[in-house]
Amino acid sequence: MVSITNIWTSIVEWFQDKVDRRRLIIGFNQSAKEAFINGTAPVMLEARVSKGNKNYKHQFSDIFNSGFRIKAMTGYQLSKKDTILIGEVILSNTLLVRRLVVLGFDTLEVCSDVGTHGCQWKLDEFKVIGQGGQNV
Amino acid sequence: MYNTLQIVGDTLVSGEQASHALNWWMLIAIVELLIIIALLLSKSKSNNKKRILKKRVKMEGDIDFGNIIDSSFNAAKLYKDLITQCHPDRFEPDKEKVAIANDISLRLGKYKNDVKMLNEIKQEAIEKLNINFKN
Repeated sequence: MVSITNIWTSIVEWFQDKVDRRRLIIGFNQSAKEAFINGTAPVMLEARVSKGNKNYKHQFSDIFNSGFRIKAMTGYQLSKKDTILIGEVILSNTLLVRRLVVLGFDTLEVCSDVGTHGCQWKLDEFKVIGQGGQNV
Repeated sequence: MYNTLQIVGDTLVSGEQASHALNWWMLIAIVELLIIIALLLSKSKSNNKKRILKKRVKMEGDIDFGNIIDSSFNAAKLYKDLITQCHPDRFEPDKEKVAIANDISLRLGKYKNDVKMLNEIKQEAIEKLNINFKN
C-alpha cells in the first residue's frame, strides 16, 4: 500500500515539476518583457528549454530536456564578453541556480538569436556559490 | 452445405489460435508492468531523499527575475563606477573613511552582479563617504 502511494506521489511530482519548470520560464520571460518595455534592458531576453549537454547530467537532471537557454534578441551575434556577463549574472544568483538544478536543468546556455555561437555552463558546479548557499 | 461447415470449422480453429497469440502479448505486457513497478520501487528509497531536498529548495522563496535581468545589463557599469569612486586610496588621510571604503570595496566584489545590492551600497557610500555620483 505504501509502495503504491510512493508511485502515485512520484507521478504527481513529475507533473508538478513540469508545471514549476513552465512557471519559471514564463516568469523569466514576463520579467524580461517588462524590463525591455521599461527601458531597463536594452535587449529582450527569452528563456526556453533546450536539450542541454549530456555530459553535465546530475541526479535531478531531466531525461530529455535539461538545458535552460537564454536567447538575447539582439539581431546580431552577441560578443563573447556580453554572453559571459549574462551567464555570470544568472550563475551568481544562488537561489535561481538551486531552483534550476532541482527542476531538472543541468546546463545553462546563453546565445543570441543570430549566429551559431553561444556559451554553456554546468549548473551543478555553481549551486553553492554565493551567500548562504547550502549544498543540494 | 459441407463447404459451409468446413469454413466455420476453419474459422473456429484460427480464432482459437488468435486467442492463444493474444495471451502471449498479455503475458509480455504483464511482465513489462512488473518490471516497471520493480524499477519504481527500487528507486523509491533514493527518491525520498531527493524529494525532501527538492521541497526545501522550492520553499526558499520567490526569485527576483527583474533584478536578474536588470543586473545582466547594468551591473557591470555600476560596479565599475562604484569601485573607482569608493577606492580606499581616495580617502587616505582619514582612517575612518578608509576603513569604511575597505568594507564597501569588499562587499562590491561580493555583489558585483547584483544591481539591487549595488544600489544599496551606493546609497551607503553617498551617506558615509560623501561621494557625489554623476547620475
